[in-house]
Amino acid sequence: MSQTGMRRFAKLFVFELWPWYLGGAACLAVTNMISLEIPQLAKSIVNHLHEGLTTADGDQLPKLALAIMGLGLAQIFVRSSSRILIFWPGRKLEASSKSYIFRRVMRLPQYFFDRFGMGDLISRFSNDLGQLRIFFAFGVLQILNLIFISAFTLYQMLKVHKYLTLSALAPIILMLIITRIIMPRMQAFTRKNQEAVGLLTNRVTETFTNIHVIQTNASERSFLKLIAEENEKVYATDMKVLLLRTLFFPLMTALTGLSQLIVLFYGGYLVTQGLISIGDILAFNIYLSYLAFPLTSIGIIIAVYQRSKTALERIEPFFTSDLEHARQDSAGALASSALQVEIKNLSFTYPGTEHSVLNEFNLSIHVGEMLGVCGAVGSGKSTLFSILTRLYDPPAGTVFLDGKDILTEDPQDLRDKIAYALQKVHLFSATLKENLSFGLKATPSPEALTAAARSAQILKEIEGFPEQWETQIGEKGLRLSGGQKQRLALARVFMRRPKLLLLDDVLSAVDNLTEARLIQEFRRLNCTMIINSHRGSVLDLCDRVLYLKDGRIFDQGPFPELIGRHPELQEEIHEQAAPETILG
Amino acid sequence: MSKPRPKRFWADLKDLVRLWPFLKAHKKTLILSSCLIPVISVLQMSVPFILKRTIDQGVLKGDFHVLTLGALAYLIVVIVEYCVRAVQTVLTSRAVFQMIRDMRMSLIDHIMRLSARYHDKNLSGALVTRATSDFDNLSESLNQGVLSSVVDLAVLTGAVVGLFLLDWHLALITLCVLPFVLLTINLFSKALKQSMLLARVKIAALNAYTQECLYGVNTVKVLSGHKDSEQKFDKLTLEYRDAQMKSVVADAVLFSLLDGIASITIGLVLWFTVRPSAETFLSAGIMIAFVQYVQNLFDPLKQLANKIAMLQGAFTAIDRVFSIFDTHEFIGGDGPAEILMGKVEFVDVSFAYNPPTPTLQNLNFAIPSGDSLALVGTTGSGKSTIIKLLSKLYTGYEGEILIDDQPLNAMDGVALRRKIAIVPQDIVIFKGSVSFNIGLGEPEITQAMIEEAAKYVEADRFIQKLPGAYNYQLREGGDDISVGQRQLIAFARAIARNPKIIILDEATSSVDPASDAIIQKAIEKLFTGRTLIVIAHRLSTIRRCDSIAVLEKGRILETGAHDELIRKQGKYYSLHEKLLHDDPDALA
Ligand SMILES: Nc1ncnc2c1ncn2[C@@H]1O[C@H](COP(=O)(O)OP(=O)(O)OP(=O)(O)O)[C@@H](O)[C@H]1O
Ligand SMILES: Nc1ncnc2c1ncn2[C@@H]1O[C@H](COP(=O)(O)OP(=O)(O)OP(=O)(O)O)[C@@H](O)[C@H]1O
Ligand SMILES: [Mg+2]
Repeated sequence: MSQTGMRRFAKLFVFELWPWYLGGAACLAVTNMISLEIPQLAKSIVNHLHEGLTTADGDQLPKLALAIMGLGLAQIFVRSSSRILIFWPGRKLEASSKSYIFRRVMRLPQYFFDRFGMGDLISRFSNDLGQLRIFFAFGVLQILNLIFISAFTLYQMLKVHKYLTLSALAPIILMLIITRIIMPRMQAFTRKNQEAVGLLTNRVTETFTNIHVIQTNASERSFLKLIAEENEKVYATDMKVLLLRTLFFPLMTALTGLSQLIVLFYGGYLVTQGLISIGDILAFNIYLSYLAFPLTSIGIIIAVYQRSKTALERIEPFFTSDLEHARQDSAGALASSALQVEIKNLSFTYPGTEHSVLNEFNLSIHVGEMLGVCGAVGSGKSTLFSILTRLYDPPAGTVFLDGKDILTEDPQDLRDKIAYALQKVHLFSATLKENLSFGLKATPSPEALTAAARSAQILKEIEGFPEQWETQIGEKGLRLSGGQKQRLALARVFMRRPKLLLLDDVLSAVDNLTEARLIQEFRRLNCTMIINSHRGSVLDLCDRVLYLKDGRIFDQGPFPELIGRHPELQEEIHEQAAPETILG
Repeated sequence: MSKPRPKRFWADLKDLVRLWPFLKAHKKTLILSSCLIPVISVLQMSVPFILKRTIDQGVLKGDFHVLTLGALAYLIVVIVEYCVRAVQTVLTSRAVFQMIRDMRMSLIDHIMRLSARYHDKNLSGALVTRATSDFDNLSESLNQGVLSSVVDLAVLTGAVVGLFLLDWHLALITLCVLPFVLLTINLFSKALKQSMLLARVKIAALNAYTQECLYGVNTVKVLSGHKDSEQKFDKLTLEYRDAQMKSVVADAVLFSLLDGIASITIGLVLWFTVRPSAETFLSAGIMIAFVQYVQNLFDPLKQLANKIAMLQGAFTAIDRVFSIFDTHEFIGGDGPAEILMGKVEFVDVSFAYNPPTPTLQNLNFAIPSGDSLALVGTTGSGKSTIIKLLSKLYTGYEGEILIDDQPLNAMDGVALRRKIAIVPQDIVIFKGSVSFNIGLGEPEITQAMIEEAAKYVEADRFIQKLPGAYNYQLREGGDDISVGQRQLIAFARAIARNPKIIILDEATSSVDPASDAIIQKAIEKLFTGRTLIVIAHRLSTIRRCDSIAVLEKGRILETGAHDELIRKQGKYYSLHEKLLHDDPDALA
């Protein structure tokens, strides 16, 4: 799975960066040539020293030494270019893949989020892409380095003496064997570690976003305890990874030491036999020390590769899950288009649960009708709205808008026709203005903003803030009162021209006077309207009210009639006044 | 968030000292592992000596015996070094991981104790980044960078000493280069630090926004806000990327400079030996050993350069983390909070979230113990703010708030809130079982108390229908239950604590009337003799209270019992009249 995952990732984000990599590789090749030329020069100087100075060479040697210095200077430029050229694409692909995945995530269906949990998704999103970047920048650099250096040095070493080279490299075979044994374990531990970090991030995120509630309830202790548990797991997995790593990496260093030992012993023997020169031993040692760094990095490369593989597996669902889309397969029969909404025999169960929330639901709503929905807590009111806006998909051929099965429509087109004020308000940590213009096709004029705010009964308060429209409202609208948040979210509705208006218990935090004015404004929008509410004063104004019980339409009719038949609806509602009379 | 401010590299080194309180517990381990460091440098130092001896006296003289001995000695050095290095790494890394673990917990604890005002200003996503990935950075840098650079330094010292023993002329030449090296390090690491700090700020902003969008994904979909959110996301991503690309440049140039200087030094040394006027004649063995030493000298330096980025990462993380530790926006007061009676009194209280715009002005009211008070007023008039002051989430008000005649200022906030139960306007459900969400993990609250509380607020009925009932694992945010059901759970949460003072901020606004009536009656029964503060829009709820305070624009217009206020014919009267105009049987 991760093999194709890697290929897909590379195709999407890496291949297009080939000019960078190519340039980087070229610079890296030059860098390596320079660093290998330097020991060559050093070798000839030392050889000459050993053989004694002749006058002719005496002029040559200082020049050679100067050449070494010159090469050192050149190295500075070429090497920094090589690093920049290879690390920049890493940053580029991290950014482009993040943006790409963000786009997909925001278009994934709701049950996807239900399945994974928000915190988990966030951690996959922010941590795991970083691992891939490391592989495609640092990893690539190391691999290229390894290839270049071993090619050059091997060539040079072989030129000197075949068998000495082979025996000097013998420890590397040992290293590869050890790597094969340790790596699978390392991968397992690393994955556990990454998961533990994900869980910790989850807990911390949940705690910090809700810190106000935790403080209010004085339950800091127990949340600290929960975090401590996850933290302990992170520590435990960290330690396991560490143990393997420390057994492994110094071993790499030790093995290069072993190579040098072989050179000394066997090479020394060869010198006594007069087969190679003493300068060759020096050069060999320098070559080995050049090889040492990339060779130790084999371990790091493998570790980085493992981590990026795990990361790929973790972000796999972002790529493979189906986005929300129009479903052609369910071109259900056209229903009567005189009806705005028609629901036929809809039964609905949330994915992954057993209990059905809506049962054999049948409903027709005429164009321009104002429909109220009431019923006990958890009777399925909000679920109805989630289905109408395709936050959750109904079965095919059950829900029709303007005579068309909503499944055949692109979810985004569908939602453009509907204005849905969610029961749970979500505001962004931005200015009032940004919150209100969010999602609009064109930047709204100040007049349009003012008009919407006036309709939502929040204009006076906005104008009362010192910074007015530029007021930062804080995370989740923290700096607004409950009623202000609700009305700001409602103002978004007034910025749109919907065909169908869905209001889910959106008047619960406003006082009765404001509520009455708001309903007047909704009516002015002149569209079909469905209102979920527990308030008699609201329901009273509806043309028709549905009384839901356990996901079924228990009864329906004008509200006064409903009260007559069901006294339990009446209990408290009768104490509230009909707002129309207030406005008189 | 504070603006990134680069510090000098050496000043940063001093910052490392601040880690000490967290490392203190591991003193023994650290001492032991530092004792191993000189061992490593001695071992490193001995290698060129062995080489020199073996070559000069073994290889060149054809003495096979010396050659074998030299090889053996080399083998022993390699093996011993491996073992020592492994032990040393495990010891220090364990100490680091333990330190990170403890430090993370104490940072989280610190953040959780910071005042609501602080949290109003700071995005939680950014704080999460501090507590998680900044620490990951720190532990990564400490383990792979800082600690091994101590070893590198040891190797370096060994090499320098070795150089002098071998030939002090050459050694001096080599050392001439060092000032340049240090200068380079200082210069570039400053640039590096600056861009890294910037990057940390950017990543925190990016993470915070990601979090916001994912939690509000429904809102984004419903408002067709994809384009807007993508634009902002892309902008933040690119800002982060660009900051990182800058640090890549600083890092690359620094690394290459050191590498280049190493080569130049070797050239310099060689030139010095072979320069036309040179008189000294050095043996080949010395030259080989010498070049080995120069390698030994620059290898750790190069390693250090390679790790400068990591080192800077550690400094940046330390900076970010300690900037929070240095924030002391706590709510003062650590006196006991014994609430026996539950009497509440506000004396001339004024308060402003953002001075000078006042939110509350000159509030005066008192609730005798066991009484109930209804706060009435248009939205935004300051009702919830009164509660936030009373529960000591915000301080900095003028005037005096008294509970049982004791000033609130002196009491410990957490202890106080254990005695007061609040059902806030914004309901939060945590990931965990239904029982956890009601008891919130408090050991004093038993399962029986939890279930009893749930029954009181009519939540038991729907909980029993969930698979596993009280053990049902709710999703984060309570997405798998209805909003009204969430409200009931929050209500049960308050009741289960069996408080002396209970505050309900629109606690039943999303609950159907039938359930509401049952709950109201239960509360009346449950809370006779306890102090109750209610914010509600339902007239029936308001009228039941002993007294009513009418709020407008942060001022109390009038207080008194329902009948009293009606008789007074003030604001409450007109409000009430308006609402009841055509609904006479409501008075029944
Ligand atoms: N954390 C905050 N920072 C700054 N201003 C705030 C903050 N919380 C509330 N406010 C402002 O203080 C005023 C009073 O808010 P408060 O929440 O007390 O109103 P409320 O009477 O409870 O209203 P509602 O009935 O709508 O809940 C509002 O104008 C609000 O914008
Ligand atoms: N995402 C979900 N997954 C599983 N079950 C869910 C999900 N959302 C809601 N439910 C369940 O479906 C039922 C109906 O929920 P819904 O939100 O439609 O109720 P409601 O009538 O809007 O209630 P309220 O008046 O409290 O808002 C509830 O029992 C709830 O527990
Ligand atoms: Mg609902």
